[in-house]
This record gives sequence, structure tokens and C-alpha cells, in this order.
Amino acid sequence: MNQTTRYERQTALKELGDQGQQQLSHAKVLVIGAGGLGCPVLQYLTAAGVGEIGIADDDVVALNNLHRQILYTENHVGKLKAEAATDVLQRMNSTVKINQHIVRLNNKNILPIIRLYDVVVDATDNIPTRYIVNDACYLLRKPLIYGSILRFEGQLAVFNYNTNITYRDLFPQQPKENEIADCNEAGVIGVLPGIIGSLQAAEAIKIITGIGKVASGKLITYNMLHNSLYEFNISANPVAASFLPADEKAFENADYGEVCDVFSVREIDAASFDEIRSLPGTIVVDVREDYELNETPTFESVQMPFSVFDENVELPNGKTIVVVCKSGHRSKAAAALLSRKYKNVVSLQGGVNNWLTLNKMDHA
Amino acid sequence: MGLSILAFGQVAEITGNTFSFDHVMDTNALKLALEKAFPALQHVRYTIAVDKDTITTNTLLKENSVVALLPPFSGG
Repeated sequence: MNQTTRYERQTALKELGDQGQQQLSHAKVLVIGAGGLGCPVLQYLTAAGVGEIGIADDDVVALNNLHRQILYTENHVGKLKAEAATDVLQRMNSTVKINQHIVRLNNKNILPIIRLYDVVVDATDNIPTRYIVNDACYLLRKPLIYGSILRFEGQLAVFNYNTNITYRDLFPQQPKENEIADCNEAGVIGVLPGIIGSLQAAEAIKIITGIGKVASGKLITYNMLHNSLYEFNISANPVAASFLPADEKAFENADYGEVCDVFSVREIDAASFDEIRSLPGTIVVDVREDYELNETPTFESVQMPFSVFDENVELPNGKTIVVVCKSGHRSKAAAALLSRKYKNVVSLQGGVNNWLTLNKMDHA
Repeated sequence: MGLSILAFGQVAEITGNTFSFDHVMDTNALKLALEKAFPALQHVRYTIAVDKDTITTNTLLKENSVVALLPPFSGG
């Protein structure tokens, strides 16, 4: 295959040229998260001929990913994203070396992986991992291209590139899981992560080839509904230093909280829910917001909306606590928080949605 | 003339995307006034930018400052 022909439409740009293509072919980029943001990043960087691309993701493709994670097809449902993405990307460009890191990155395993690359793209979907990635890139002085989304809005920023600004200058202290709209099933139109991920891919190409003006130390916000784009200068925050790890040892020993806890939460399925909640020793804690409650038939529960969730709440001891929400994400996070204080905390898998589906089937 | 406020993400869900707000002296006063007008803001974490620069300490506001309220997003 003629590599000159393959890239001729981008090397025709005098800013890029053959030299830029050379730089791309020697570059090593780590993409953390192969979801809504990660898919367009991976597609464009592979197509552009980046020499080596790492995909860090331990998740599997779900049917409700397909509307926005456009690398994957119906045949990929249930398969590992890193493997499915590699399969598609290698067919797109067989000359790119693709490395799969099928592991949930944490502060104990991330440093050796990041060391293998020149540029890191944060395409993750949760706050603890974002702080872990930020702090690791800060320690290893790796340029970090940050992207994130919420509903119709996205954020883009570049850290550690010709600047000492990191994510902690913007948001110094990691918020608690319930302080931000994390897994509130907020909903998203696929094109939004497509746009933000494409912006991240563009920043990666600019950093690798040295063209243009990189969003280094800037926060760019995009609103799809209003077509509004704003740029802010991120000021060096004196508080940030006190939250950044002093060295690798401090980093590996730090507590980044919820991600791991959430994975250790025990879940019960919808079928067991009716049985367990009718037992005398059970309390159901409903963390849905008030406005969500009238959508469904109610059951006896303690209401503690996730937005104002207080993990130090006093609940009777020695009981089984079943935490529920709409689709089982917030309840898992809340259950993780409650597990620190209470022993027998479980989360309803798939949330009230699953429970309703099951009951409908029973009555059909 | 008052302050122009640009709100994003979770903050905008509470306040609306853009709005004018009576002038107050500095960003600490603004935070308090906003939380009074929108009590739900007390539960949201956000960074403030004044005239395009994020601030790290209490900052005086000019007569026609543009203030942005920037919460973190986590989705991907």
C-alpha cells in the first residue's frame, strides 16, 4: 500500500507536509476510555497515521453504547471494547500499531502504561479516573488532552504542554461522587461526544506536528444546542499544589475513592428485589430525584435524592439496605458510600427500570 | 448595567444558561447572592471565571464584568 498516496490529502497542507506525517508516524498516543469520546479520537488518529496507539479500556460494548460509540457494530455487543476497536481500526489502517490495555486504570497500575506514550488523551467517563490520569500525567510530564461531556455540553483542555497548568488548577480537589452529575443517566446525543472527541484528536495532531495554537492551559466549552463556544484561561491555582501528589510513591498510596468501591458493591437482581424488600429487616433507600418519583409506582422507601445525598445519614443498624435509582448507577455509587458505615448494603441492578420491566413481563 | 453571567452544565440546569445579575462588589459576594437566589447551587461545585480568566481568590467585579460559572463534567 502506498503510504504517500494514503496521506497525500493531509500532507498537501503546507503546515503539515511530509515532515508532519513523519512526526505522526513516530508518535505514540494513549487513549484512555474507548467510549463516546474515545471512538472519534481513535478513528481520526488511526486514519491520520499515528504510529502507535494505546487503548486503555476494560469495558464491554453494550447495545445502548451504539448510538454514540460509532466504532462498534451490533456484532460487537458483549465484546471487549479494546478488542472490538482494535479489530475495526486495524482494518481502517493496518500500518498503525495498536496496543490494548484491558485493565481498569488506577493509581497503582497507570504509571508504567503512561510511560510508554508521548501524549495522553483523557476520554474517560468518571471523576476519580480523571484525577488519577491528571496526576499521573503531571508526575510524568506528559501532555494531557482532556475532554468531557454533560448532556448537550462539552469541555476541552490541554494540560502539561508548554505550561504547568493541570486539571487541578481548574478543579483542585476531587469532588465526592454525589457532588457532580456523574452517573445520573443524564442522556446524550451521539454527535456531542463526536464533536468533543474530534476536538481532542485535533489537539493531539497539533501537539504531535507542532502546528497551530494548542488549547494549552485553556478551558474550551461547547454547547451543541446554542452553537456557543467559549474559551477561558485557566489561572495557576496556588491551592492545586497541595492536592497534587509529591512523587510517585505518594501517588500510588493516595486514595482516589469511589471507582474501586463502586466495583465492589454487591448487586441484587430485579427478581430478588421484591422478595428482599418484603423481609422485616430490610430498608429500601431510593436515591432518585423528586421529579423522577411520580414516573413509576412507588414502594416503601426512604427517600434520599442523590444530588443531596449524605453518606453520614443515620439509618437503623443491623438491617439490609437496598439502594435503588432509575437504572442502577447512582444507587451503586450511593451504596459504595453507605458501605463505609453500614455492613449489609446492596444495590438494585438495572434500577427501577429493570424491576418495572420484570413486573410487566410477569403480568403479561 | 449589571453583571452578565454565563452558566454551564449542572449550574445552568439550575440558573439557566445566561442571565443578568445585580452588580455586587466581588466574587465572594456574588457566590452568596447567587446561592440566595438559587439555593440548589449550594450543592454544586463550580469554578468561577471573571472576564475569561478563572479566579483562585476573591476577585473584585467591574461594573460590566462577565462571570462564568464552570462546574466539572465527568461524562465521556
